[in-house]
Amino acid sequence: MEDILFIRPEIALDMFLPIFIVSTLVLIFGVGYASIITLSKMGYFSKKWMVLGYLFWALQTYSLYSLSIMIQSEPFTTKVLMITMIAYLFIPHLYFRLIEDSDKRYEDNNIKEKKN
Amino acid sequence: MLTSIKTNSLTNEGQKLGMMYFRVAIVLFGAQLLMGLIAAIQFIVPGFLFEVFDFSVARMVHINALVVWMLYAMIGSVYLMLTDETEHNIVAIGLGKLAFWVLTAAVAIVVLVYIFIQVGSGSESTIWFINEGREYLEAPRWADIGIVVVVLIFYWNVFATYMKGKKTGIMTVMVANLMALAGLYLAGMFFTDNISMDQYWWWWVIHLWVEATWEVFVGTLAAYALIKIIDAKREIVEMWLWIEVLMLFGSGILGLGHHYFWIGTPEYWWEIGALFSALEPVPLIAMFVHVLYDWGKEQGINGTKPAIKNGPAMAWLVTNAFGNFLGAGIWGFFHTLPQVNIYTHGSQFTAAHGHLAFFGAYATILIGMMYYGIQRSYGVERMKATFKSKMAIFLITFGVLGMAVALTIAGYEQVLVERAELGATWNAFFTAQNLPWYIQAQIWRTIMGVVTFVGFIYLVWDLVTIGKEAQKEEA
Amino acid sequence: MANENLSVWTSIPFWRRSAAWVTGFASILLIWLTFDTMRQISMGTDNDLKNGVTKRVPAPTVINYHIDYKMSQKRGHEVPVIGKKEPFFGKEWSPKEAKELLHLGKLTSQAKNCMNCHTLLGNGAYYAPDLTKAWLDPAWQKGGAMQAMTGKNTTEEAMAEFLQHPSKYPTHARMMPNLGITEKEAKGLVAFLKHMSSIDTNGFPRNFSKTVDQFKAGGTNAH
Repeated sequence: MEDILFIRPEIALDMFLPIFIVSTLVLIFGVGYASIITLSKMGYFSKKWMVLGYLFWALQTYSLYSLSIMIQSEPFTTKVLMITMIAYLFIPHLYFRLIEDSDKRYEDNNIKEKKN
Repeated sequence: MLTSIKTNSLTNEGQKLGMMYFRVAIVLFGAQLLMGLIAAIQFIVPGFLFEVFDFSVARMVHINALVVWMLYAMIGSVYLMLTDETEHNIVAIGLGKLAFWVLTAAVAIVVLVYIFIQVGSGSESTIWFINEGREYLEAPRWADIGIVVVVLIFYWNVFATYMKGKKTGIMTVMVANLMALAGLYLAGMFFTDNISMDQYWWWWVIHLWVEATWEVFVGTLAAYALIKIIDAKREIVEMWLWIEVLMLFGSGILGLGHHYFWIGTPEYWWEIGALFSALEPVPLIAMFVHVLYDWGKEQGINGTKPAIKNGPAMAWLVTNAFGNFLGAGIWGFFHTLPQVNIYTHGSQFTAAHGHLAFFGAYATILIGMMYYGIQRSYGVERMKATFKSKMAIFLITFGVLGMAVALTIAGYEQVLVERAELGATWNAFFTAQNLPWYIQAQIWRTIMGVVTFVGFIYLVWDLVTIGKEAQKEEA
Repeated sequence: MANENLSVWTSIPFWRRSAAWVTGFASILLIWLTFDTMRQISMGTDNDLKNGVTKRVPAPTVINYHIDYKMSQKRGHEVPVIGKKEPFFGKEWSPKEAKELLHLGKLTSQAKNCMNCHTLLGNGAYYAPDLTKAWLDPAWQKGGAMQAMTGKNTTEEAMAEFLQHPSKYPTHARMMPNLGITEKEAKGLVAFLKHMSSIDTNGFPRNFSKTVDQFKAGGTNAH
């Protein structure tokens, strides 16, 4: 029986390395973004480092976009991923808002040395 | 040797019992590492112990010792914190101690049977008395039932003490979560001829343990530890704990779908699994940010006094926050999308993720709890990290990270050659296994395993001596 | 503190309630999906096979049929295709016999701890080849290296022979140990493997059929 060869969406052999590199970059930039924002909000770095944090976020978004193209996601999935990235832009800020508010609410009565 | 982890300053019986669990846990941890080394050597030297102590046996004991030492350390941690949190003595301490000895005897018998009998005939009696042959849940049926009974006694102790004592937020999460954790074990206790059905329920136990209830357990322990070790404010910690529960269960329960891509289950699990498991790192980022922030705050960023009461425990806790995110979050996300997972599923990628995630998410915090238990046992106000503590944390972390990187390289090679190019046949498998990159990665994995083991020796040495040293310093 | 205007976002009861709702909702959704999946992955019947009804997990009597793994244009990946009847160990197995054989095979696969070296449906250990589609592996077909080595004429006999005396047929430095598998157990295991190869795994492992095609065309995959 002669089988017909079908053309199907498949990851080409030489695409694996780029895919793994790009997904690593998504995560490295993601960690970089979260930790720079965290550390500068905590006062370890000066606020101007936050610009670098946002740059990391932009690079992460770009990497995720390339990843979704490389793994041949449907356009809809790509859109969802981009919306997720916009949400990710706000998440660390939400966490800090929460940390600060809860500090204010629960820790004001025994004033600590945290505010100089 | 281990009896020198004395419990001389403990007056609370529950905490003494907790320390008993820790002692067995550390022994099993050692057994896990030894078995891992044997299995790693067999990858490089296939003739090593062939038909004497085969890979399947070494690997079975390796992963079972892992699960059991973690459960021991988890039970130990709960006994350690129970009276603290509820301000009530444990209701049935005698029964609790009996359960400990029964469980320990059962574990010893199961391990001896694994090692000396290894396999049985294809009959129900093997499933009942030798091993059940389902990865992670190999314990034979009689032991399954025994574990259920022992866990019921443990749970009764926790539940009844909680009901009689103070009901803190931390304990509320603990009691509810432990019920789910124990109940899930039942999903793995039946036999079916249908392999798809088998694996469907098998994942209920495995996934809903390690990616949901165990994670919540870790969140609960971290909350307790932050209060105890750095005097974090209870209200803040508990608020975060509830947020973590929300996010962990919100993503983790349906994240189960990422195990249902290829086992015969319908395609809708692709979307569900991809979406929810992609969200799984989000709570881990929250835990990471929260622990880091609390640490920084209490450390005194602006040059104030150090407030950490237990140096090694805090160091392991911070390693946990980071390792959980790295191992479970990053290495998990790496291969969770179905488009990628069809190539990586069942390759060394999974092994890399497994090593780093179990270590980062669970081993770290449980070791931290052991240090905390020792501090209590010796009744010291402040316990600083010794040279041995530092060597232990550095070598173990470096070793496990090294193993994960080596296995990732092996996995990458396997994906490329075996899966993408050659199509996952018998021949494809062996072609990939024999390529130089793969073999080198396996050699590096073994070297890193040895590094981890050296770190473990430092760890045991430190656990045995640190209490006495701290006591001397304080006197 | 009590009479301040307090934000709901820092309220512990708010987060507690939200956690309970989200957990409850996720659990209910999971249970509902589980019911649907159970329906879809429960084993088919012998009549389904006779009438050509496709089930994700066919009846044990699938061992009486030829199984192929082909690209489905509709699904976008390979699916198992159940073909004409063929003898299995030289005979046709009745539904009862087939069920008993599969039961023995599944039991043996657990008793011999297969999963701690091999992967089944991709789950297990990574020391030995994946067994999901082992039945369809070119090495075990007529003309394949494994079948030739055992000196048998059918896939099932070759596999059963190998399982009983694995270290007699070394292919690589890494060998399968002798696990004391009896002739009956070996037949059961082969039935288990054949049944597993007929499960619709949504195209896992990817590209497996490519090598079958190549093999049929006389090409080699690896050397």
